Amino acid sequence: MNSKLNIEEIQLLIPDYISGELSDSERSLVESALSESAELNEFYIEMKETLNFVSSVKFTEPAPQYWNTLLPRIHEKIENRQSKGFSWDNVTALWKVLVPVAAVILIALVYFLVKPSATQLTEEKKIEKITNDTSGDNNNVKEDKQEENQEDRKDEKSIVNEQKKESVNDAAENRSYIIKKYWVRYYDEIVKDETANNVTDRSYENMKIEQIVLDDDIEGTSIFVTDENSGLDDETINELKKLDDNERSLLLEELVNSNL
Amino acid sequence: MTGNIANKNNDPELIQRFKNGDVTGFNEIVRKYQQQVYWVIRKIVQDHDEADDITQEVFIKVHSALKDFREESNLFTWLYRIATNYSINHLRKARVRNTVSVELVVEPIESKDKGADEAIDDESRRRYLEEAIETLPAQQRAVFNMRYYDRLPYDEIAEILGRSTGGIKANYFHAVKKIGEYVKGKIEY
Repeated sequence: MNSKLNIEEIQLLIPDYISGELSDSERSLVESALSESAELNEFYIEMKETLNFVSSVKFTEPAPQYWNTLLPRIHEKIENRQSKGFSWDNVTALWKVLVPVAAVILIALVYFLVKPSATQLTEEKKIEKITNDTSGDNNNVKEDKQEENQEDRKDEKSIVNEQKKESVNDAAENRSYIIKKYWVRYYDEIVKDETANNVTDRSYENMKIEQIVLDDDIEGTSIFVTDENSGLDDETINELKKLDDNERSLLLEELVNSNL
Repeated sequence: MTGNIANKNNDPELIQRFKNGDVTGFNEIVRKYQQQVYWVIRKIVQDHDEADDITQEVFIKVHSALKDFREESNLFTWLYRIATNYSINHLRKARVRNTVSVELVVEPIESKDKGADEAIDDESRRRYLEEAIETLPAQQRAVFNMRYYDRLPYDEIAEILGRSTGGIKANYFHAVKKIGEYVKGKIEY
């Protein structure tokens, strides 16, 4: 063994070398290293002074009777702990169980106090679901309502349109009625004249055509003349008088397009 | 005392007697090992009263656990391990309770006018050694006591403390070195 290379190992052996605890081979190894190294030799001297000091110190021995009292006192303690059922080891073991259990219970309590229960969660989920469903329904309802409103509006529009149509139809019918009434009276007068003048059917047809052609300039005709010379009864004349310009134009248009 | 290794030959018989309900087996174990256990503890904790309390607790522990002792190690090694662990735990708890530095309570030896040989009486030597040992970590302290005072082989110390033999050798070397450094600052050899 090279002492320079293994100086730490030599140092580790020095306390036992001083105490005489080394084997012969170890002792010779240390002695060889000490003779070669002044530094190691100085370390050896310091270690020896330390151990000499330690060995010089005498611990105060207990009183001789102490050794006779130790066993009775040990038995006394054992009996006291057994009679009381008390043991620090048992307490320690008990706490080892109690503390984790208490901690778990505490955590569980806090958990259940702070966090809503599963039932509450279920109820909340239900409420949430219902809310969602309701909102969905509301949306659907809204959509339905919108559709209904649209349909209602459509219906209203259609009703209005129908009403308009009806009113228009009524007006048209009214106008048609007036026109028919007018023409019936006109026809009757013609028939009277025909009877009186022996006019043939053919001439009557021609006359109707001539009349319609004449009516092209409807504004200039005397059809809407509502005076006494118009040949209309008072009721028809009054109805014709109630018509405004638009209604009159519509009436004339229908008269032009009619087959009468 | 100190350093005497008890006769281990009748240990199995004592253990078996106690397991069979004969309390005299336990009593003989206490009488046989009480001094060794006490000094192991005393060298570590230094104070007699503390050593006395811990010694009693060690044998109470032996009384409660001896029935389950499987004799995988010999009784002496088992007792030594319990005594050392109880002492180390006691020191660690005490260090937590008392954080006052040793340096603050040590009286400087230089204040005395007498010469070193006259000034350093036995009581002072004992006190400085105690203080020096108290500066050691608990395991180093236990190793120092087992090796220096009881002359236990390194492998047996390693078995007691559950450490490697190389680590125990290093512990012993550093313990001696630290004690020398502490004492050197206080007195002249």
